[in-house]
Amino acid sequence: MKADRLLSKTSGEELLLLGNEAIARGVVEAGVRFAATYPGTPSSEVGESLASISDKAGIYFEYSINEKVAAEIAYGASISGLRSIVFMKHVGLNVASDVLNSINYTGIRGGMVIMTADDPSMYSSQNEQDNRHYAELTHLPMLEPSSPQEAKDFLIYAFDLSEKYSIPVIFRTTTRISHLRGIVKIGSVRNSDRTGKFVPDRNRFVALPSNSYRLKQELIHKEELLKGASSESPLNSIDASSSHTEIGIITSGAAYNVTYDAVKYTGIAADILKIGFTNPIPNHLITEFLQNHRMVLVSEELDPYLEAKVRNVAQINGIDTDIRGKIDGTFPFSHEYTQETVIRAISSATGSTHSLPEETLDQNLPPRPPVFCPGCPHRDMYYTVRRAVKMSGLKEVIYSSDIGCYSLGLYEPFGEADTMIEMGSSIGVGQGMALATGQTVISFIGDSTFFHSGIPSLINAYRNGSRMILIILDNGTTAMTGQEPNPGVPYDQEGKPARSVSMESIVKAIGIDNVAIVDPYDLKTSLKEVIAAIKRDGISVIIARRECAIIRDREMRKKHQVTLYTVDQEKCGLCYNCVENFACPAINLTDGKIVINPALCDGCGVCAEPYVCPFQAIKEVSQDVK
Amino acid sequence: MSEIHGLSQRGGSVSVDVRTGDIRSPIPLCSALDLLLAFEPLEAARFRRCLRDGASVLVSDEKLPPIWLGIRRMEYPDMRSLFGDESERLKVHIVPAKELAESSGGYRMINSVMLGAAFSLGVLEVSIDSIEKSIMDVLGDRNATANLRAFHMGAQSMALKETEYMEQTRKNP
Repeated sequence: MKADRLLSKTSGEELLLLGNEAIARGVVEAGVRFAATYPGTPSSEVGESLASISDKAGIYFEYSINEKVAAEIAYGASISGLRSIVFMKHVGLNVASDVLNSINYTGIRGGMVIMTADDPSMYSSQNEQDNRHYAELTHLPMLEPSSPQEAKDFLIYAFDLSEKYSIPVIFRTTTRISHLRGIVKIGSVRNSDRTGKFVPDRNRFVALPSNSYRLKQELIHKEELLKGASSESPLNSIDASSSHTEIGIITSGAAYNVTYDAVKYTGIAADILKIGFTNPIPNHLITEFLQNHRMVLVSEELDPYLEAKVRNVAQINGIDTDIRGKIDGTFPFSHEYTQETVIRAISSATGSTHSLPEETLDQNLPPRPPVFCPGCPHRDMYYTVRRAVKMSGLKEVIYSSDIGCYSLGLYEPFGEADTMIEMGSSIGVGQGMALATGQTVISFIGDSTFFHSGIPSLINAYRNGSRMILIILDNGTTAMTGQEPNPGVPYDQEGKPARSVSMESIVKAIGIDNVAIVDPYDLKTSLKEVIAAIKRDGISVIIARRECAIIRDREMRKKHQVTLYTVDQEKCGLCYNCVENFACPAINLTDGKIVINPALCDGCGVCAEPYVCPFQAIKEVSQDVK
Repeated sequence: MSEIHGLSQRGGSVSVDVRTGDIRSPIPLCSALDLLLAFEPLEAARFRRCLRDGASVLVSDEKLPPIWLGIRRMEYPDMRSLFGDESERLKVHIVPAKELAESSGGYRMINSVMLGAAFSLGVLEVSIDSIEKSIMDVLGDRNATANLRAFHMGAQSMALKETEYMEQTRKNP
């Protein structure tokens, strides 16, 4: 997408935007001056959009080292008077939660929004935690849009709300909102002439117990005021059924969308209360809604967050409306909702029947899980480590993996991931297992993840005398989320030169002497280094350095350079090593022959190495490019 | 319209849903799809049960064997076995998308070829002017020409392919 169209349109014009692009436009319209993130699906396109327009729009934007630092930077800007936003995926908020649980007390100055993109059904995440609980935990207001238009409009509302009550606002989306594309009517840009100037207030911005004791009470007071704001907010609305009905449904966000469609499908008459201001909830509105309906269904994804609150409202006000949700078993607790989920719930609650087809995907076909791209240096390193372990006669090796493209090393034919829990965990978990078992542990971590949260664990491993083989897969980017730069990369999000941090200097500065830097395409040297590390005691770090194939391909295309490889069928001995153990998606078995698909071949040439093709049957071919 | 991102460049099976009309959710009811644009035959087969009776399937004929097969020394399944049991229920059209894309400007024009083929079915509720304008808006001057060519080649190919396919399904009920 040409992101500059986000700036080129004027008020009143319409654009077809992704939820995340609409949020980026909202950032511009709200006069935000400061934005920071650590990339993570499904939030990444907010950063992608801001990276290309921030300069023009006069917004400071950075990819921070991790979410905690990103939140601190945004807070720093906010208490200096500027509007700021920090955005991340749901699990990123765990990393930033330490910040959140103090800045709710101190409050802010310039409007500050914390955007979290949750991932029901875990399309690209290790869990589907429900981040609405962070709003309860921190007593912070929370808004939830249900469309790209709302994503933009609610965000602007969030900044005004934040400033009015001097409090950070949580802005929660889910995959189906962030990645929902819809028509967005553009609004006008509020030009902010504010300049950052920090005015000290030591009774407020220093969270010492003496201050916090008082600030907690202020926070609770703000929450009381916000209850009123929520009840009067235009972000909550009712889709009234055309006929008088006894059935009501309370819903929000993506669940609202499937609920709306499901009600239409079933043809039942139901009023739908859509809540956009989800903390504090609009008590008065809900009380009235409960009183006006005999039965109220609460349709929300993940935890019974709204349902519990709705039941509270009923209990406090002595309302005996029949409330149906997850707690009574009408709705499921896990995975994203579809129309089917809601249709089934409506059927069970109202006793109506609606036939739904069961069949969906054909599970009997050959599966297609994600794989390392053609030319991906991670494949080469996993291939090498597997060989090194075998050649060393090592039994009971433990592979401790981490978050990134290289998590795919779990899948066949590699199978090199025994544990993987969260960002930076490979080193800490690996250390624990090594200490507990005495077994050999090989930990994998990517460059961006190493900077994000791997460094403290490595210091810890060194300090406490652990034995460990650490392989840092340095492909010079944050690949999985969309090739964002990280502190090890010598350019910024716009491709301009930037200072970079030497990972090997960090490792050596810790005191680790055994540091090898290898090119994963060089299978021979890599193998030698991994075998040496397996034989060695103490900590060995191998930095496998080779740029991400997607970045390299992009560069090569710009230069109109394409190298391809093909199989010499005369020489091919059909040992199947390339398809069985190297498993590049460009190589396959067709009509009894090994063939390379030129449309997929990346030209890395690693398959032509004798370690992969002992028959030397794979060779380079020149290719004319237009 | 909703997309499942993240793995799109990692060779996994990726789907995008497009819905129009007075609806809110981007996720369709299962087994209610009107049209499936499949960029790979195996993936078309994987999703074929999501289509309503009488729906159309446009399949790019370019086979991309998943590595799962090679690891087992297995070959790509026979094309006819992929759709055989559905040929009565669905209208399956095989599009030589790669060939048409390459002759109209390059492999990456496959998207526009498939869009053209879909347009020619007459089920998209958009005008040709609107599609052409969008191709120009989205892709810019440099890439629009080849993509417009690819779009029209895709549309024209359907007129020819229809009869051919009908013969094929009659042979393999």
